[in-house]
Amino acid sequence: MAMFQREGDNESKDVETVIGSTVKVEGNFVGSGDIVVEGHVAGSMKTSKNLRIGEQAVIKADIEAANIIVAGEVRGHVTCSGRVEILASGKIFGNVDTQTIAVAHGAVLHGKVCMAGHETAEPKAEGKSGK
Amino acid sequence: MYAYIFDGFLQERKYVHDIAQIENRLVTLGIQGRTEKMTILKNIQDAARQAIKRGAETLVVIGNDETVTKVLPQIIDTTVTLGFIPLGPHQSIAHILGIPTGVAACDALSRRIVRNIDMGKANDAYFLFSMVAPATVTVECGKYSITSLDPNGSMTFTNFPASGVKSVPDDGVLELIVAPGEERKAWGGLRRGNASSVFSITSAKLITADAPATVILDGQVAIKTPITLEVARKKLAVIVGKDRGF
Repeated sequence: MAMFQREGDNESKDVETVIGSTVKVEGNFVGSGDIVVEGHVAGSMKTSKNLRIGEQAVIKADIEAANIIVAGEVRGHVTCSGRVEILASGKIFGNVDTQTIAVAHGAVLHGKVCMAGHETAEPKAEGKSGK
Repeated sequence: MYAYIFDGFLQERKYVHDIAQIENRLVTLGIQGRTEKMTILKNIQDAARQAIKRGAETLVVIGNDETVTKVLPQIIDTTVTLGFIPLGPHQSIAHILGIPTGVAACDALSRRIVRNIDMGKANDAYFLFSMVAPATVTVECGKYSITSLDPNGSMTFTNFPASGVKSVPDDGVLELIVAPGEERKAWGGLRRGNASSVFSITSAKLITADAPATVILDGQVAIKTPITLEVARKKLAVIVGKDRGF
């Protein structure tokens, strides 16, 4: 999967939007390219590509992207059509809808995780559910 | 028809040889035209206006970045194509347009690769390269707003590649670079703060909560907030070199 590269690689080469640690974005932000967030975001954030949330980032917003790496803090609903990766420093306080998810040791995830294509069948009302 | 305007600083003795070479090369290539050499008594903007009035289809300025930005307001809203022969210091525009310095630029001029490039429009004023605002300005882009948390920083709207940020001057988009200010360290030195932020913007409003802020266009013109910013698509026809940066 073509996600962001690790620190030290040419990470910012194709990044189109960078929200640095000294910047605050408020409202409904919609991007068309990769986004890196190291600053503050409030409202909602959406991109059809990749989203990386850095260690210093504080996101109080619903976020939506193709692939998401979380190293900072997210308070809001996370919607992802690909893969969500929560690094050891990452915190998500909200529900996550994704195809796949990876949670590192030490990461925080408070919320419900729904993985598309892996829904369990609802137990029938008259069926035996206690087994 | 070509018209040539030489900036005033080229009167210095050290440029005599270069100017002679350029004039000879233009004749050799068959693209010579009416020439105006600026002096302390001649205004370059008046000269550009007169050249356009006389029917120049291609206005070639010889000088540096400042020469180009001084002439630009006269070319906007005309059908004139801008040419540039870089000579002297401060040649970042030539580098971006891919035009070699000195007599070699005549060949780029002769090849005549013309690109229609965008300009930024701030209220009624245009800028080609950049618009710089203080970090106290809030940038409203439709449904979201951008605020700098560092009052010592700066906000630069750029139409060309700058500070390692890719920007294409004919894509209908300006890049906003929000740079942090310099931090004073314990030993008295200065250090640039955390990495800059980069946004792609097609239109925006610049406002301030307190007193109006001064915003500088192309390092030449100062205007005050509030500012309505937009991209004027394909506003300027300019001759570029094959090594251009876009």
